[in-house]
Amino acid sequence: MRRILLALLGIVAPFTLYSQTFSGKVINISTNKPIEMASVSLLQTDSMTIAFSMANSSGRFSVTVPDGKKAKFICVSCMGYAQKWIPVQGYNEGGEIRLNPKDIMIKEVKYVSKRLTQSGDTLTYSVSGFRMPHDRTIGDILRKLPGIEVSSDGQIKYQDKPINKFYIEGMNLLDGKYNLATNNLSAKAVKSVQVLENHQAIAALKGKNFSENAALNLVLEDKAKARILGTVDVGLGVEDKSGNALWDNRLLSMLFNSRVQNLSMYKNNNTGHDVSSELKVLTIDKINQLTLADESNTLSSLSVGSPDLDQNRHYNNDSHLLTFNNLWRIKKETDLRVQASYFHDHEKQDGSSFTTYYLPGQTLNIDENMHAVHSKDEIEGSVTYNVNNTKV
Amino acid sequence: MNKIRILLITVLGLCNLPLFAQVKLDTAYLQVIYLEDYVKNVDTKKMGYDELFLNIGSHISEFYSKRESQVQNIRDSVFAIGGDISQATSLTADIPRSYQYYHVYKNYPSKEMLTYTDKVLFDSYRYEEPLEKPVWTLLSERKDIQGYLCQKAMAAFKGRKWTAWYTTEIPISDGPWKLSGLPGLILDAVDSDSLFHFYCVGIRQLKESIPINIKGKFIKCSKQELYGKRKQLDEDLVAYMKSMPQITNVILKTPEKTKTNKYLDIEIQESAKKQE
Repeated sequence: MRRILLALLGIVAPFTLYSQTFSGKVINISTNKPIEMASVSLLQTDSMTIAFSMANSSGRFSVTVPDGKKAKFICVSCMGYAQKWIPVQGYNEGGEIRLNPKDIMIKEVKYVSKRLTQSGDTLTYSVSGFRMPHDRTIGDILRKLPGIEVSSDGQIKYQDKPINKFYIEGMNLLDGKYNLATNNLSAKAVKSVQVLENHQAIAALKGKNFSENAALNLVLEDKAKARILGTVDVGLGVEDKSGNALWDNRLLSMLFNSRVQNLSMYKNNNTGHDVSSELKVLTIDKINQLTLADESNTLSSLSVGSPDLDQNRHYNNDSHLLTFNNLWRIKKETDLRVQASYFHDHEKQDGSSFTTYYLPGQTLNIDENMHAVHSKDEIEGSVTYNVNNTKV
Repeated sequence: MNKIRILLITVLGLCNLPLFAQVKLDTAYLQVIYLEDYVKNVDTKKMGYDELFLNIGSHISEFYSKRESQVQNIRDSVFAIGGDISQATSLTADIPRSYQYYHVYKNYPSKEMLTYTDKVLFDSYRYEEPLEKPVWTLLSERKDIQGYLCQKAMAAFKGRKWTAWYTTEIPISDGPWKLSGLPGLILDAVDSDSLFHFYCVGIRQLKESIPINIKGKFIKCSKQELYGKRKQLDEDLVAYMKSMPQITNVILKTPEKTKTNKYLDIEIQESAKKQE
């Protein structure tokens, strides 16, 4: 029985397997003119295109069903005309296909140039749109962003007002000491910079108390997340004759996770770079709190007047900075932050002035030399447990 | 490299020509925005990134880098009000650039023809060739791109194997670069080595009419000539400059470092194929 069936198939198959060709002419229904460049596609039952052809200048087309495929529909389409689907069974071979002129509305896909986008109160700057090959840290990028200004001590202002919070991935790891991030976080690790306008950091006051200041949030690249980012920089130099050595070193590790963030660093230099500025609290809300408690001027030390030059030109230092910042997100609205830092600085200052007074009968020379040594050790630590929810 | 750049700027200052005539070819009614990730240097695997526009008119389409045309427009307007090259350079310093100067005009100068323009250092070149349509193999794979249902197609074209995703929902037989010939618009195209990848990020129906222009003064040449110049410029800038008639002498402040840059063309030329 099976053999007979196979034999029967052998007779039938050659007739069904020959390749089928459809041809015809595409014309405009209202003008009866041929439509050039109309595309004629053969579709399977699942509307997948299996073959296609373009109508020529007289509107003619011819399209062949590929071997092993089965066409179900002929689909004719052209810009400016309504698409037409014709079942293969009902197709009049060699006939005319009439298309109705119709304005095709194309679904638009909104694309905003990636440099800058705004949604609601959030302004997003794409770092890749601003990064140039010479930019190293995210601070270099921030200086270029329109609307954002970075002063010489590193304070970030948005529309002339200092920011009130600095977040990394929405978490307040550094609590105002954001120079640690802007001076050390590589620009390549950051995907975008978000400005949260009129940012109210306290959830319970949201919508009740209006804030004039904005906050900044760094959105990191996926490759910078959930892994330890480490950097070791070593800079050494020795002067020829005196044998004085110069150094500028950095050991840095960072971790940005959804539950834990950490930034730990050891930095030292004697090249005149003021690393203490990295521990400066710069967000506006913290500055207001600190001015009351600041007692650094109770005792004043001897100081040689500083010349009118950039500080790194005359700052004869030996600075060491050690900092540890860690934040745990315990619950959705609960954070525990531990910050500790140690700063040591040994600064030498030398000043001399020579004054001559020409008086009647005598000349007075005053030669004044001053040598000052400042030694500073600062240890700072804080543990903050922060619950920020809408319940009062 | 910087020194060479300074030298270039001074030379550019000398041949600072007035605005060129522009010829309006067509008016675009649709703009497709593509991003391109491409390999700039095969050895270092350095990646380039560009934003490109495909402006589609009723007869002609134009494909070009938005970034470079932005830079060019700023320069043109600075020169138009009598500014000099240093002002133009400072104004465009902050715009990320791709240095992809090429424009592809499909169906120009006539139907089934293609015009290609490119800039090599200071000179603009142009060639025409038949609008070659790849012989696409349609595959039964589909995916959604920007809300459009796309089908996969593959073809060998101009020396590379391309994989394209096109949508019949936009029945325009066009695509990025020289690619076309499918029953719908190509929204994604990548070659088999992933050296060049174009992907659509935006589609805009143009209410304001954007003209399709061919702007500037071009030296007509063949495709092979242009390829030879691009290759020479990329691989040895100094030799290229020395070969230019308007430059009498090239003085390098730093001793010549012959950095061999391997030029990577999106199209593999017949002549280059033979060499390989």
